[in-house]
Amino acid sequence: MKFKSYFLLILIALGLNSCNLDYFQDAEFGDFVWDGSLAIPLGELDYTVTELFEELDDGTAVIGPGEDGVVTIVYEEEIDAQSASDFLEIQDQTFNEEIRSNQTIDNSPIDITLSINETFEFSFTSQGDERIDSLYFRQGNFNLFVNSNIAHPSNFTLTVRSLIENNAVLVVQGSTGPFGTFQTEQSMADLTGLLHQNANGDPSPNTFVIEVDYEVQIPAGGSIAPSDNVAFEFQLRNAEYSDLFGYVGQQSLEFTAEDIEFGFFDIFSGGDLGFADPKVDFVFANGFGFPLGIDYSNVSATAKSGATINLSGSITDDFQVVNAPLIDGAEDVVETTHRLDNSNSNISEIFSSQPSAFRIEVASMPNPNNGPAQYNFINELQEIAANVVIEIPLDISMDDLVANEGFDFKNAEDLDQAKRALMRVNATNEMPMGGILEIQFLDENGDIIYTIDERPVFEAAEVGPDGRTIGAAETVSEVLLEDADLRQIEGAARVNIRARLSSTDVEQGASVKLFEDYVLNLKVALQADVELTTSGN
Amino acid sequence: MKRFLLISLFLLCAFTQVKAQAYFAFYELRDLVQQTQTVQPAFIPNNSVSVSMPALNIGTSIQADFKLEQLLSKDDNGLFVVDFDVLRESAQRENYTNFNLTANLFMLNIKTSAGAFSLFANSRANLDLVYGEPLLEFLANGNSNAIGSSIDLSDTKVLMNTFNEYGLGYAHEFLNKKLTLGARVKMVQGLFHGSLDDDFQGTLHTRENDFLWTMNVQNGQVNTAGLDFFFLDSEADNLTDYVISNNNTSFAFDFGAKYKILPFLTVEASVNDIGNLQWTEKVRNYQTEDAEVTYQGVDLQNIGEADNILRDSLLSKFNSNETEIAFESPLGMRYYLTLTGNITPNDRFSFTYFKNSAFEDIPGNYALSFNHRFENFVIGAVGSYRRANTEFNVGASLAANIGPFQVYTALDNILVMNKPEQYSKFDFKFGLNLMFGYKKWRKDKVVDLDRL
Repeated sequence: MKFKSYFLLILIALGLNSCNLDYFQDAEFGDFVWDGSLAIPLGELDYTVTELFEELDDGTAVIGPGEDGVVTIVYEEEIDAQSASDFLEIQDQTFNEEIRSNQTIDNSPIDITLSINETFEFSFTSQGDERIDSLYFRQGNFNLFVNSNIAHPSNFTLTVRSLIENNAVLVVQGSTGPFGTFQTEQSMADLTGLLHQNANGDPSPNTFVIEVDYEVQIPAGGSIAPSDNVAFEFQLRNAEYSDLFGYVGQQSLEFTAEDIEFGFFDIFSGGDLGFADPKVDFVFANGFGFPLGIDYSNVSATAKSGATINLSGSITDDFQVVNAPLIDGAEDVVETTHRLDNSNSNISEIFSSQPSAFRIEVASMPNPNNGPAQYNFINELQEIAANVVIEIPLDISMDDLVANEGFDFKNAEDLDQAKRALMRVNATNEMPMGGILEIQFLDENGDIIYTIDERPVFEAAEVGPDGRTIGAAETVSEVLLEDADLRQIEGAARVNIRARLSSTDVEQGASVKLFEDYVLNLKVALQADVELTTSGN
Repeated sequence: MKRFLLISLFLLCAFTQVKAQAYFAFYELRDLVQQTQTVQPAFIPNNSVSVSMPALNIGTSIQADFKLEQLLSKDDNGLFVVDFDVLRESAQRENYTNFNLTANLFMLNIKTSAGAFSLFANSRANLDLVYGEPLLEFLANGNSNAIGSSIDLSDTKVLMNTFNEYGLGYAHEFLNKKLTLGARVKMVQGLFHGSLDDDFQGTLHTRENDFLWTMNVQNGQVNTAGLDFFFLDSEADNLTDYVISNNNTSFAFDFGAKYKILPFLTVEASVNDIGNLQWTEKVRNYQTEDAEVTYQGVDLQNIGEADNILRDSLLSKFNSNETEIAFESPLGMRYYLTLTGNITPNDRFSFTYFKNSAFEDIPGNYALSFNHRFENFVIGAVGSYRRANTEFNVGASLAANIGPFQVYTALDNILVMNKPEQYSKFDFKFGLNLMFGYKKWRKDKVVDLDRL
C-alpha cells in the first residue's frame, strides 16, 4: 500500500517538477498590430455640369442653365456713357451791341427826350452741329453791362425775348448818367431759354433775341452827335440746363472701355475647344432723346496665344442703332439690344481661342444716318447705360482639351499605415464628355515625385438625335498602389489632376450640348492593406 | 496489483484520448470536500461539521477554442502580441470561450443522521463568449476576403455576470440511503454585468463592384450594470458601498440527486444556478434600432476635416439610444449528469456529462475519471472532452487531511503546468477546510477489488 502511495506521490511530484514556463520568461508585451485589409466605399462625388465647370472657373463667371437648359457661362459687365452735362455743355455766351443816336442836335432850345428802339438777334454759340431750340436753365448767371458815352442821362429797357421768367419775357430796366455806366447780374436758375425763332418770329434755332428801348434826356441847350452811343454787353456764364430741346448733332458720345478677364480658360493648357453658339448682348437703356449709332469695330479679344482677335462681321460694317424715347414720352427709357453671334460676327472664333480677356470698346454717334430722324431732347438726369452680357452656352466640342486642377495634399502622413491600396472609381456619366485623368503628386518644391499614369476615368455618353445623351456611360477604373508607390506618395505636398477631355463624336466634328440636368457620378472605393499599431508607428 | 495496473492503464489512456474541463476533477472529490455541493447539492460531506477557511477556497476555470500561445503569440522580436491572424488559424465555425472565478467566502456544513445542512457565501464571476468564424476572420483580415459576400456576426453572444451568492442548502438520504436529494436556495446579488441580446443578428455585406456596405442589425441591444464604476471617475468612490449592498438581488436554486441503482453503480444529476439576476441599480441599456442600412461613404465634395469622419458617418446611419431600464439576465444553468461505478469501496470510475447552458449552443463536456481513496488522502484522475479541436489532457484531484484541516486541490488539466501556452484550458480548485468528525470516513470498510 505504501508503495502505491509513494508511487502516486512521485508521479504527482514528477508532474509538478515538469513545469515548463520558458515561454513566459523575459517576455514583454509588444504593440498591438492590426494588419488587415479593408474594402470600403470612400464616398461619392456628384457633379452637375454647372458644378463641374464651377470647379474649373476662378469665380468670375456665373455658370448656370441658359436657354433650353443648356449650361451657360455668363460674364456681365456694365459700361458707362457720358452724362448729359458732359455730353452737351452750354457754352458761355457774350452778346455785344452798340446803339448810336444817329441824331444831330445842337443847343436844343427845349428839353428833348430822344427815344431809340432796336431789336437785335445774336447767334447762340453751340458745339458742333447742335441746334438748340429751347432749354431750361438749372443754373448760371447773366450779366448786363451798359456804358454810355452820351453827355446826358438816359434810361433803358431791355426786353430779352429769348429768356422767360415766370411765364413772361425777361425785362431789365436801368439808367445811366452822363457818360455813366450800368451793371447788373441775375441768376438764370429757373429761366427758360427760347432760341428757336428770330426777331421776326420765324423759326431759327440757336437765335438769341434782345429788344432795346433807350431814352436820352437832352436838356435845353444840350447837344448830341450821331456817333454818340450807348454800348450794351450781355453775358451768359456757367449756364447748365435741366432740359434741352433741339438737335444734338452727331458729335461722339463716349463710352468707357472695359476689359473682361477670362480666368475660366486659364486651366486649359492644350487641345482644342470650340463653342458652337456664343453670344454677346449689348443692352442699351437709353434715356436720352436722340438715337445713337454704335460702332463695334474696336471690340477685340486677347487669345491664349497672346494675339489680338478683332471682332469682325456685319455687326461692324455700320453703326448699330440704339433707339431713343420720343418727345411724347420724354421720361421713358428705351432699351435696345444688339446681339453679337455667329450670324453677324466672328464671336465663335473669338471664344474658341480661349481668350484671356475680352475688350469692350465701342464708339457711338448720335443721330446716325441710318437711324430714325427724330426731334432731340436731353434731360440732365437721364443717361444711357449699357450692359454687356457674354453668354457662352456649353454647346461645345472638346478634342483632348487638357485641364489642370491642383490642390494641397494634407493627408500624406496618414499613408504610412497603408501597405497596399487599390482605389476603384465607378463612374456613371450622363455627360457627352469623357475624361482621361493623370494624377501627379508634387513635393514642396513643386517637383513631380509620383505619377499615376493617365487612364479613362469617365467615358462620354452617347448623344441621341434630339441632342441629349442616351442613358449614361459607365466606367470602372482602378489604381493599384503597392507599398513602394505609397512610400513615394508620402512625400507629396500637392496633387495635380491633369484631365484630357473629349466630347462625344468630336472626331466627326460634332459639338454637344451640356444640359444642366446631366450628372457625373463618381463612386470612389478603396481596398487597402493597412497596418495599425497602438503606438502609431 | 491488478488494481494498480488498472490505474496505470487508465492514466495512459487519459493522456492519449481525453480532455478536461468544467471542474470535473473537483467534482470527483464528492463527499470528501464540502465545496463540491456547488456542483452537486446532493453530496453529503463525510464529516460531522465542516467549516471553510475564509478566503482560502478559490477556483477558476478558463476554457477556449484557442491555445494560450495563439492568444498571446510572440512576434519576431519575442514580444507578446495579440495577433488576430494567429487566432484566426484556430477558429472553428463557432467558438466558445468560458471563464469562471469562484471564491468561497464562507461555508458551513453540519451533517445529520440522514443528511446535511449547509450555509454558504460565494463570490462568482462568469464570462461566456460565443463568436463565429466570420467575426474572427473580420478581425484578422478585414473584409477584403468577403468582397461580394456577407460577413455574418449573428453567432456572437456575450454574457458576463459578477455576483455574490448567500444561501442555505440541505441534502437528505432516502430509501435506505439509495437516494439522496439535495437543494440549495440562494440569494444572489448582482455586481457587474455586460451582455449582448441573445437574439442579436448582424451582417455586413460588401458589394463587389464598389465595396458598398450593407449592414443589417437586429436586436442590437447591450445591457450593462455596474460598469460605470470602471469608466466614470465620478462613480469610483462609491464602488465599495455598491459591492457590499445594492438592489440587484434575486433568488436562485441548485438541485441535485443521487441514486444507487446497484450496490456498485450510482447515477447522479444536478442542475445548478436556476434563476435570474435582477439588475435594477446602476444599469444602462444601449439599443440600436433594427435596421438595414447602406453605407456609401462620405460626401467627398464637402468632406471637411477627415478625422473620424468615417466613424461619424457610419454611426450616423444607426438610430441608437441609451436608457436605464431594469432588466434580468440568466445566471447560466449548469448541469452535471454522472454515472459512477465502484469497483471497490475506495476505487471508482465515473462518466460525467457537463453542460453550461449560459447559451444553448455551448457544447457539453464529457469526462471519464478514476478515483482512489488512500488512508489519509484521496486522489483522482480525470479526463474530459468538449470538442475535437482542443488538445488531449488529463486532470487530477487530491484531498488530504492534516489533523483537523483538510486541504484539497483539483485540476482538470494537470499538463497545463508543463508549457501552459500549448493548452486552451485551465481549471483549478484549491481550498482549506476545518473539519470535525474527520476520522469517521477513514474507517470505512475496505472492499477487496478482487471480490467484485
